[in-house]
Amino acid sequence: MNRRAFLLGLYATGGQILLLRELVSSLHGDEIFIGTALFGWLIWGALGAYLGGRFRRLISPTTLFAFGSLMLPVMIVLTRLLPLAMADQVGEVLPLVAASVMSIFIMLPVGVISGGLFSTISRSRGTVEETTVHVYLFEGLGAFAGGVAVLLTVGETVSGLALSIMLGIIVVGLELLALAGRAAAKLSLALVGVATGAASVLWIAPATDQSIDAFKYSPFRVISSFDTRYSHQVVLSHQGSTVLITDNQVEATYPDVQRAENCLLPPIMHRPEIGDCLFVGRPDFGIGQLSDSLPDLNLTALDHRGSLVDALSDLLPQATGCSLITEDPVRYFSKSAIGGGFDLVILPLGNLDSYRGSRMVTAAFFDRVSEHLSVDGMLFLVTSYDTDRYVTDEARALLSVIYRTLRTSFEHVTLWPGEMTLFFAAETPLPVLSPDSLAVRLGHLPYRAQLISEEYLADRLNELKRMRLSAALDSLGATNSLIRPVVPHLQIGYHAKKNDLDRRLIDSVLQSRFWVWAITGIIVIFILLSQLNRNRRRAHGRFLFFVAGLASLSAELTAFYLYQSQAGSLYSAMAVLIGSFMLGLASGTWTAYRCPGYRVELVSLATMLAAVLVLMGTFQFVSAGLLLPYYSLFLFVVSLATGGLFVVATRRYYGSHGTANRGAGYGWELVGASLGALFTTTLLLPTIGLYFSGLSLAAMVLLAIIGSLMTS
Amino acid sequence: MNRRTFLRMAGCSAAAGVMSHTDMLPEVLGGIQNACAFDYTDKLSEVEARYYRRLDGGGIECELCPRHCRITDLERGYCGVRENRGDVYYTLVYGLPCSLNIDPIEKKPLFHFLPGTTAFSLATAGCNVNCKFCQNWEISQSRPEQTNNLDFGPEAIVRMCRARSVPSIAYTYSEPVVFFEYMYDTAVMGREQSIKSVVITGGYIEEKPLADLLSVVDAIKVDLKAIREDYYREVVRGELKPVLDRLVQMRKSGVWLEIVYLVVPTLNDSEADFRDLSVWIKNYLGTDVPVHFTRFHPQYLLQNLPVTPQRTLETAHRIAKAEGLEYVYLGNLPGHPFESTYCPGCNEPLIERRGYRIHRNVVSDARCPKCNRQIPGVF
Repeated sequence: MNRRAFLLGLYATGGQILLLRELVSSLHGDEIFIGTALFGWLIWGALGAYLGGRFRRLISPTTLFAFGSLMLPVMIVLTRLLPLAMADQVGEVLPLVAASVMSIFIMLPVGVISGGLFSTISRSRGTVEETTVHVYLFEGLGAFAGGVAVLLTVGETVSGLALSIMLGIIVVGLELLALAGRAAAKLSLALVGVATGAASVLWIAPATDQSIDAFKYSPFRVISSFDTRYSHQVVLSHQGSTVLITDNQVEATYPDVQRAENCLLPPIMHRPEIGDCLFVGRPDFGIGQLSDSLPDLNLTALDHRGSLVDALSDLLPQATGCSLITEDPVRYFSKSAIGGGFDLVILPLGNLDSYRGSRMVTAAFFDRVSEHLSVDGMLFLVTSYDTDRYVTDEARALLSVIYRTLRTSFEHVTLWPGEMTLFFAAETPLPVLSPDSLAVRLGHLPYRAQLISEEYLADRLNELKRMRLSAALDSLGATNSLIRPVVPHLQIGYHAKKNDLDRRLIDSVLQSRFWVWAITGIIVIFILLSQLNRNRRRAHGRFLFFVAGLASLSAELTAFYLYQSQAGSLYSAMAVLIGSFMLGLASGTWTAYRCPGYRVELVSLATMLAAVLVLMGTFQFVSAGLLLPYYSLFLFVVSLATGGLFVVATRRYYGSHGTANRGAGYGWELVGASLGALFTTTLLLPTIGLYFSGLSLAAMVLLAIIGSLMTS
Repeated sequence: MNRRTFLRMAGCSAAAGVMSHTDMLPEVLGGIQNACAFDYTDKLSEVEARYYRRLDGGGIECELCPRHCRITDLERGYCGVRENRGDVYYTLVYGLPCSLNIDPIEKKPLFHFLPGTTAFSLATAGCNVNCKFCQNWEISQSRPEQTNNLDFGPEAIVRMCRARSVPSIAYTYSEPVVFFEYMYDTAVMGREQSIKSVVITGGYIEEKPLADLLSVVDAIKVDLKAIREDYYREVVRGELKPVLDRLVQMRKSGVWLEIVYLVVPTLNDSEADFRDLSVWIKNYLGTDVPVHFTRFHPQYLLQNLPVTPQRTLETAHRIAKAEGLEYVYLGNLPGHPFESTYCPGCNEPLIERRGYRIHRNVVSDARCPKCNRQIPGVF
């Protein structure tokens, strides 16, 4: 076994995953930045590999491991603090461009060190080609182990910061253990390692987590700072208010009567007979307490995190009549309904920039929710779009997509304008009620409303506002689905309005289909040039590099998107997905290296083609419990083929050209990978949809196969 | 039939179709024809702006607000709604509101100005500052091409007010200073028809235009965002001093003035902030200027700050009262006793409010019925 290569995989992939998790959490849960961060990782890894090769005599792997172990926790702390440095105010929403740049540069130190380690380790003994592939294989094994370690520990037993310190201790400790001569020295080292590890998990990391949040949210008192399997969370307290921060944004505040009343009272005013009610989200921050004031209501809450921290029970009044189901909402609704169903399902739509949020605005999800409703049951959607005084084009587009998507599953849909726009959806007609009638119904409730009250309803539901909102619902004919995620795309446009540069960029790039055609055109021209080249065999090698890069990153990001949309827990599962990808890549390279010959090329391409087509045909039928193995297997197979393709592309491209530029092949791979990382989920999925994106990828691989046959 | 007419008809039909699906009120369905008179327009206005001067070397300098933008040909000022075309400065939003509503006057909030009435509220795109907590950022930080504008000149506004018996027009939501000409002309026309005008502003305006505006409007509510220059620089992207100077000018003019202070957790919510603010108001404006401390909700760029705790607002109220301010209110806290007006002399509840509704108003001839003390305002 190549120990250093294994440690490299453990460090590099573990570090990459931890940084990606922190980054997504720091940037409000937007998975879009995974693409830009991976793009950064590729660039910095390549730079590190170059520098490592060039200066390999000046620096040893041990030094690099030690430096890397130090840098990983530093970068994690920096990922949390950098948004503060990039904005005037704590927690200010960063412009998309600034956040993208940050996501690229945050990967710099760990990426460069990982690349440098690869070069120094692979050139330390044996022939270059042999050891490179050997290192690659064991790096893949280490990567998979790192992924599993992150999956099993972070959010369950330790925080991301704690694991980053532990990872450093393990990597440096094992490296030093191997170098230490005597048994006594080994034992001393092991004891020091264990002691430092325990101290970091029990004291250093929790204290640092707490201090960073205390600094960020001063003068709020940090009650608890912790990681769940889904995100980084903070509970704050200040002058009688308790605040739950999730992914660097306020998820809930107690007391917040406005939100609690908006979530619970409007549907009850429509259907006073409502009994069984399911609320999707945290009930502890006001909804549960309000439901206690409504004795006829039987409230059940659905949240994937279970109870958060014990400290909350001291800060918040306990809701006595509310029960909690600990399960992911998509997973919960995919099961068969039990009993007569709920009279009301309340779904507050959180951050729709993210796949985790927008996956609950699809026709398929609404269909499943409707199966859990009673005959007269109602789905009630609470959005944060403000339609009280005007409806902007961006809000019109989003609201109309949500409305049309709801209409595919429900016969009747009604809206309320306001600072929070509300959707009511049901199979049976919803009563037509004037503000006065609603006020009368309110008067019969045993709770005296503050904001959903007659003092506000006349203004909120006045004719002009309802008219303006209704007219806005026809602005866009699209619906949102897993196949074509329009909502996060539109939400990015909405977000981009907050910054001039973002707005210009989004208008010119993401809102235009020109780029889809431009990318397609570039690929077609690339293929033609390859085939028209005098040395077609070598040119096709270049094309294979490009295909390998593009296909692997497209597949990786598509798998992230689908997994997050179906399972909603990418934050932890990303570890195994990336680990599987790295393992597949290493295994493919290893296998191809040991099986010289032209057939490897066809087998790799055919495997890639088959994996993409199988994914397109089967992903919707995978049961919730099998999603992680399914996508891990998909990524393993795609990267297995990619690894093989690297080897054959290298043979084709360099062949007898001993003096050829060794970086050129990698450069073409990088171009393909960059296109895949930057455009797959941001541009292709929302504009041409998943199937066309998948088929386009399949078509490109098919062309590569044809090219291989023609130039064999 | 031209393209715009076709689109308008299609829009009306679509709205009718959607309304029938959405189970809207029958009377709303009946109002479609009327509502579709609110036809969005793509045009920009070409009315020459006031308060600018031509520069010697070409270009103009805007003298409307303290920014004094220097603008070359075909460029716009910071507000994005005033453009230099051949060294003639134009307002692009004259008669082109992007938002029209009939709001309770308490929503502005103005508590001592015709309580219990409504105000015809309008706004155009654009603003001369960029507050990171702006509730109306979708229009205030947009250019007029990016908003859905209606073609509603001053005459149409006044006509609608009269038709709906609305006693006042509110220039609000975004920053009315940037549509000064439209606001001014509408206020003049409204005054001729006995319709009052109220301005909801950040007060970031130069002395001369403000003096002209004060001669035609009846009330001003100023959002005084903080009492610290650094807050204005970093959070508002403006300056405090000109705002304070204009507040003094407004007070001296006799136009009714109320002040709103949005309490943003961690940024302007210290006891020192509340005390400094109260002392300044007492010293420069007087103790009888109503001050509203309102609750913040996460908005625009400040998404990670929570809503203002009730206790913080009550602290602000306590400090302001202790410093001698007589009319101190808490906003966005419906049902709280400090939403109501009490006589500073005898503490008698004079106007009992809950949200936007007046439940009891015993002010008579602008006096307290119990101790006969004069209550300032327009009643």
